[in-house]
Amino acid sequence: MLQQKTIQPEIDMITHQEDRLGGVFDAVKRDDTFPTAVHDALHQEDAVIEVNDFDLWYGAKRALYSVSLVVPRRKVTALIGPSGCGKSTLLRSVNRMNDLISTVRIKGDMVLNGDSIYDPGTDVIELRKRIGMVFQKPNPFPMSIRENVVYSLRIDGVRDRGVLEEVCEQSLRAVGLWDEVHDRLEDSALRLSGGQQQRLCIARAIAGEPEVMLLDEPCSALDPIATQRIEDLIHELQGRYSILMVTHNMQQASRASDYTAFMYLGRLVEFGPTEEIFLKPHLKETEDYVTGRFG
Amino acid sequence: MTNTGQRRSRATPKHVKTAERVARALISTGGIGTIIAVVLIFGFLVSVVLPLFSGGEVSEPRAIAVRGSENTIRMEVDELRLIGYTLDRDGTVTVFSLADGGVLERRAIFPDEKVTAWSFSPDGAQCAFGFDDGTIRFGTIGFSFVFLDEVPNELSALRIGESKSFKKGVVIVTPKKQHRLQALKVELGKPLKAANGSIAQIDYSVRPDDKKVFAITTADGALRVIYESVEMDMMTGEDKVVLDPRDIPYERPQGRNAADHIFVNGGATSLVLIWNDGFGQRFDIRDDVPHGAVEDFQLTDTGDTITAARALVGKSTIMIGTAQGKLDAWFAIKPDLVVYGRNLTPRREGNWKYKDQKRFRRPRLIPTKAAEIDFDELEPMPRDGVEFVCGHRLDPADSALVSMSPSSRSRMLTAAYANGSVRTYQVTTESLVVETEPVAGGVHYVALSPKEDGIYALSGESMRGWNFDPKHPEATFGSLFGRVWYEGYNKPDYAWQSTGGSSSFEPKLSLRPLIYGTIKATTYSILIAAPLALLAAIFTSQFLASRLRTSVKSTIEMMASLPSVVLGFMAAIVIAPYLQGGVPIMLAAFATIPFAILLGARLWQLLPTRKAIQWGGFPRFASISVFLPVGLLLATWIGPLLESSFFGGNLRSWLSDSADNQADGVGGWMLLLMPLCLLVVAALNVYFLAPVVRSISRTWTRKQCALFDVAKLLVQTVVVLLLAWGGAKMLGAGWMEWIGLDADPRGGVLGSYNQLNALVVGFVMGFAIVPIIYTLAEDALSSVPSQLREGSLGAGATPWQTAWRIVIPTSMSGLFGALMVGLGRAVGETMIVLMAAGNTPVMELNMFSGFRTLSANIATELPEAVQGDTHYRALFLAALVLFAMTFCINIFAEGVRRVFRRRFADL
Repeated sequence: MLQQKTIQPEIDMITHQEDRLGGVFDAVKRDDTFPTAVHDALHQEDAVIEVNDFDLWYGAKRALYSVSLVVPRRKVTALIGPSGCGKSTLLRSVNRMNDLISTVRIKGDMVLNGDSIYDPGTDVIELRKRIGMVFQKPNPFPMSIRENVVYSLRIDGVRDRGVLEEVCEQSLRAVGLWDEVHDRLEDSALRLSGGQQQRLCIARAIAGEPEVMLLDEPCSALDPIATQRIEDLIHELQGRYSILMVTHNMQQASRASDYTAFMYLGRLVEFGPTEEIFLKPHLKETEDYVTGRFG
Repeated sequence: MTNTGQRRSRATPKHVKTAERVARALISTGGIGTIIAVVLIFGFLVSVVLPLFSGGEVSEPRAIAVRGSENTIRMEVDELRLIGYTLDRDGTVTVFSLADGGVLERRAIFPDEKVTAWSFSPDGAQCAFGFDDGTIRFGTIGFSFVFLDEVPNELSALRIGESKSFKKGVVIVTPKKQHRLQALKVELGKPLKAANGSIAQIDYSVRPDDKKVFAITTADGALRVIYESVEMDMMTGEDKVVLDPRDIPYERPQGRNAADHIFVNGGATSLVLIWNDGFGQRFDIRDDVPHGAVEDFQLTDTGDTITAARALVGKSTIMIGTAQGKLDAWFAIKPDLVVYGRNLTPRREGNWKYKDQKRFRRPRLIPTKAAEIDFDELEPMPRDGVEFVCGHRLDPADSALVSMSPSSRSRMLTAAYANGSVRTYQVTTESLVVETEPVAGGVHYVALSPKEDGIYALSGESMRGWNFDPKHPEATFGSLFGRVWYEGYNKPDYAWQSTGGSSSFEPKLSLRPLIYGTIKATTYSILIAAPLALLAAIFTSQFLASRLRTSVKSTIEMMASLPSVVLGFMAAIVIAPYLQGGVPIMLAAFATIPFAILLGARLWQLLPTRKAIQWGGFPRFASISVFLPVGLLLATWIGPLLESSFFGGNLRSWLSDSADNQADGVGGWMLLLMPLCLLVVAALNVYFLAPVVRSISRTWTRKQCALFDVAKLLVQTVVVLLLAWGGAKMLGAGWMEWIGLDADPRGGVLGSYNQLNALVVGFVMGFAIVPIIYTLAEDALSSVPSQLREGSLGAGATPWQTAWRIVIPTSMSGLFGALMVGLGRAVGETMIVLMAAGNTPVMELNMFSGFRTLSANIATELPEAVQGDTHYRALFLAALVLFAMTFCINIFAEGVRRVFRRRFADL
């Protein structure tokens, strides 16, 4: 009942366009799942994460409808879609951050390099160590820049000074922060600017040698110049890391990603190489969204 | 052009403006009012306390036309300061008006006898005389009054408060318009035969059974104690005084004349003879069978001679004034530095004390180890276990002391010197209350009025009178906060005892025991409450699902609604007697409950992974409540075991060091060393064992790791126990005696057990402050931005790592604030300590002894304190100290919070 109420206005809004659009709105109206339009290029990719028929509920409200998705190895995959479409929920399901919310229920599974993520025997802590995460708002810890970067090593009990120094420098170099902060590593990370903080967070994620990195709208809290730097950085990391990124900004998706997945009201609508999604999408709904006709 | 067709009025309506103004006024009045109220309270406290520290005041002298001479043996004034009398050596009493010095009456009270000895009690008008024919007489020379039924014409013009000489006295009109005639009253008993020769000295005292005990020396050198009893004459039915004289087997010391002064102490347990060259002897007269001198002493410095000696009220302190102007207070103490034969090898039975510690020295404690005792420095204690020492030396004057007058109600004393100066001292605090301008022509006799409101000095030419206000001589900074050597105490000490039974009682107003008690109560309760509350807050905010969190939180917060009087009542009536029955079990529970829960956590890991994760929610939470009783059970088993193996089977008798419990100090040291050893083992584990284990355990299965953890916990427990046992053996069993390391754990935090003690208060007050600390700490932990927590968890940190490395440091200011609020509550808490702390103002570290806090003291004593007197003001000072303590805690807390807040200001 609850879910009917909340999506009713959107259905009303879109029904008059029904003749021009494909089956997504039908599915929404029926409160049913929607078969994703997956482009052929994806079939050749090696998957780092596989999402298989994944459903998720917040209490009684269903947020994901049987989502299936393959995150290609060493590629940047962008999740786009209007607010509330479940992009972030999907992303946070990958490293089980949704466990923190006690009302969440799920169905289906995800696989990280062959290991089930939602198997009851999976150790969440171990899982999260294999996945790096960067959040919407920069969240440096209230400690020194150095300690921020090597946090994942610290919690693993690494004490070897040499190793820590090395990892710190490499990670900061990887995000282009080394030249800016190498002479004040002991300073509080909270004194850095917003853009620097976010790059520090990326460095922190990199330091843990993750198998996949999750970026949850990493630029939404930043000014245009800092945004530009992060996008450049993502570009640089392309090919070295497997990245799954949520973004609101379609230019960002088109500039920084290899693959783009379009989500709408909890369904994965279309998934393909970024160029194809933006230039010749299979579905009209996707085209309408990327060209800004709705969203 | 508008959207809705309505036009919005731009002007703010009048009622909105008025409401705004009223709200603003109310809020600012409230705020400023609060500040003013606090300042006013503080100001009021200070204004009540300040007079404590103002010195005594004395007016300009007034000359009264009364002459004295060297023959004057007594001068006294009445309590209204209307009349006075002098008594001369020949028995002539002269009554005079203090207003003009006019003689009202003169008569000889011993017309047919020759007085040779006299004694006046310091606290009243009673006196005893000895005569040359060997008789003694006891009686009163004092003041009495009558209300005149018919007012003679000559007095009818008097108004309220005015006085006039009338007949043999002075009439004063009281506020009720009664005419009160104040006159001298002399009542003397019949002469009683006490000796054959002339009596040289006499003194008397009253035993607790109300029998008078006289002591006399006679001109022919005998020392005699006379016990007076009253018997009914069977023939006439009248009471008859019967004397029972006993000669003390006594030889006058070589080359000495009769003693110059004789004193029987209050309660008549000992007798002191004093010669003017400073030599003194003390006799034990407790039994009806007298003994010889029990100790000799020298009261003066060499070359000095005694010019006056008087007993203070209560007759325990003898004031010795000398030709060099020194004024010392001597009294008997019962030293607790007694060595018993059982501690000594070779055995030397009897009680010993250091020689030569009579003058201005604190009594030294004799070491308990026989090897360290040098018997050349010791001498046996007097047979009555009492030693006569000099407790105070008052500020000396540079001229000979002539006359002294002790107050009849306090430890004040007025002394006159040969150069004419008159000083009033408070003996116990050794303070000079006032000093008057020197009286020309010297002083023969000085008197302090009964109400301590006037000083009278009799000189050869006239009498001087001063109006006097001592203010609060018992309260000096030193006596309120420092050590004071009170009469009868073994050494200068901190003491609070504001009221007492007898008239010679001396208020003891040191706030130190109360401050100590407050700190002790706070320390023990915070030691118990802080870990519980903080760990609970961390647990609920970081580990518990939010559904459980809210219910747990509100349950704990409900604890706060228990009135503290109920908690205090529970503590005193239920918990204290219960704990008393199981001290060893309680002590063991401190170790076994955490052990059981840790063991439970280790065993939990042994569950198959799947089950462990599946049951990770409520079942895991519930399992804690299984291991808690397991820990308690363990304690009931281990407690008695400990008691029988280390404490001679009875912990409480061991704690009080009773003679029939010969167990050594190993058990006690083990208890004390245990937490330390735990810390050592934990540190070793973190810094040395953990890295090794981490590197070799990479290949282990989960089950192996879990088994290893269980084994590690057991081994660590054994290691802690062994370490503590080894250390305790070294300290307590004499293993290290050769380097002087041999100590008894008793006397510090361990000591004899009282039912109402610091631990009971700690438990209950801890219980009372847990909710407040918990709530604030939980709020602080929960208010850490969720993105920090998620960031840490997302990086693969465990919830505990996240809590320890991110959440706790970030919320440190809040956690600290929570602790400080708890501390502030504990400092000011009254009802629990009032009911459960025993209220004895002692200063002991001992966790099993009671105490009295500032707050409980104020609550008990303020209702009975007389407004404006020293006790009342001292209680206000206690309030001020309490105020200052909480204020300091708050300032400190605010400072620390600011530091933390600045560190995380950019968050």
